[in-house]
Amino acid sequence: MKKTDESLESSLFEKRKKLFPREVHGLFATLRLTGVGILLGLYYLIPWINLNNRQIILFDLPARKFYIFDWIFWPQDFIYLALLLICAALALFLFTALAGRLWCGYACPQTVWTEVFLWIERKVEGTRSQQIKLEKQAMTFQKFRVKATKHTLWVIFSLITGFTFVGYFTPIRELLSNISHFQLSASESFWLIFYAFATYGNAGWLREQVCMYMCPYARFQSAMFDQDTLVISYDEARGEPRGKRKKTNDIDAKQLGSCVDCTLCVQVCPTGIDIRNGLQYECIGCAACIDACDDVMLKMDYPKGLIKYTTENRLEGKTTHLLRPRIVIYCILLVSILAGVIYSIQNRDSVALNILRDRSSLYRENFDGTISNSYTIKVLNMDLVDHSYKLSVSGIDGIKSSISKDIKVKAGDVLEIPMSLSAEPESLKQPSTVINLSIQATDDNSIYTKSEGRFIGPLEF
Amino acid sequence: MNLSKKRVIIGALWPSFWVAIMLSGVVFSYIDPLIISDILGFPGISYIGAYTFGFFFFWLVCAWSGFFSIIFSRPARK
Repeated sequence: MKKTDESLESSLFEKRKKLFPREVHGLFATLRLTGVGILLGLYYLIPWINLNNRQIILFDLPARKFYIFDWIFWPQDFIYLALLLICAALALFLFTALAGRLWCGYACPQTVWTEVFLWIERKVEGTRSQQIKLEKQAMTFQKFRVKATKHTLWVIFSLITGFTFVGYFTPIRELLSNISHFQLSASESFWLIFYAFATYGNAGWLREQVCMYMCPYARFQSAMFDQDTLVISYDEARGEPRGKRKKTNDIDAKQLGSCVDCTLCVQVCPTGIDIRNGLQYECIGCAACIDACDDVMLKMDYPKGLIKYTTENRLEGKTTHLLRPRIVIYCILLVSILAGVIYSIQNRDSVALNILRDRSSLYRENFDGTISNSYTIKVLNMDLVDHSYKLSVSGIDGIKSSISKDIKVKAGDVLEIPMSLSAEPESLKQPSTVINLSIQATDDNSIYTKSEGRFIGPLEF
Repeated sequence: MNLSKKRVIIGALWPSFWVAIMLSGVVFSYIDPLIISDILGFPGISYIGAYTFGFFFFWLVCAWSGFFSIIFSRPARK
């Protein structure tokens, strides 16, 4: 961290200088583009993939059910989602401790979408120097046309992104047909436009400012760093003193280091920093400068790696340790929580039974002298197949239920049925008796659950 | 009062946005939003509509708190 809080504070008030990151090719650019391709491919395709006649990932808010592959999450399973998020955070800590800002450089949605926006920008406005030239020009019809084309393409791409986002919450095929018939609900349209606007604003306009001023992770990631964390660093000992030269010139004679001061590393940087000034909090670890510098080193016939992934220990000539206490702790925590979550998800009860007493009357005396109570029972089939359940009641001698048939509940459905229980007054020992209800699937002995209720009788005996 | 736009947006609106998402998740997992909207007198609202209103309500409340945090984090005499 080179900048102090004060200079950060003042930079908040500085007018932002627009950056024009230069296109870069090389090993890490290829890796990043592969990451972009895979992640965006998954994002845009997943809602279209169906499994058992429904989307493989669908957060069905109206039905209050989340479908993730074969799993159905009910509201009472919220704890699993919370634990999965904790796992994601731990994984992020682990990767940060190992390899620095791997997430930022290759996988963060901000990086991934900005990459696509930059690509569109380059296709429309041309190379970095053409973009800078265009920016300096006064507004002409030609400039307006180019800018308008770029923004139109950005907006179209953002709208597709917003549409896909809503497609995770509303079945996407239905959504598409609703759009084509102009029958989108107000909330669906709102979220589509909201997400599209966020994409357009963040990836088109804000870009590196999101990482510098808005991202909480950027502020605390340095806490996970240590001397053995992989960082992108300029080899100052080898590079300095920097200076321009012709290829044929003898370095030793000119007393120059390897850095030819071409400033390409600065030009390709998406956050506009100079990596040669040391590790800075703005660096998102995208390795664009490594690719750019290696290219130059190759042309100059110098060894690669003037800017490279390295660790502070290695820079100081010490050895780098992969296994450190913090790595071991993160791994143990991550593996144990993940294993616990998966185990308990796999072993969830696949049926739930709720019993609600009818509040309008305490009890009823029937003409045959028995006492009866009314209830509503809810049976949730949380399994992936339909089941029939047998209901049994106990707690009072000779208690009878109005439900004699098996209860059929479709997969992933909730069935509410009225039920009345009746008992002989002689078998009631007190005004209010605890009764036990249980249901058992007729086709699978392991699917079983029970619930407690109360049976109210006359106050006097 | 000299509050820059960036300060308010990043200090109040932005963190509260995330907290509102988390709150919506936790609260609506346990409470059916339609029950609340019935009590408040908006029967017939759709689920996504109810979630949307809930989310904005949480966002507003949290942003309110963030806004006051910004105000009180500066010295009174200035």
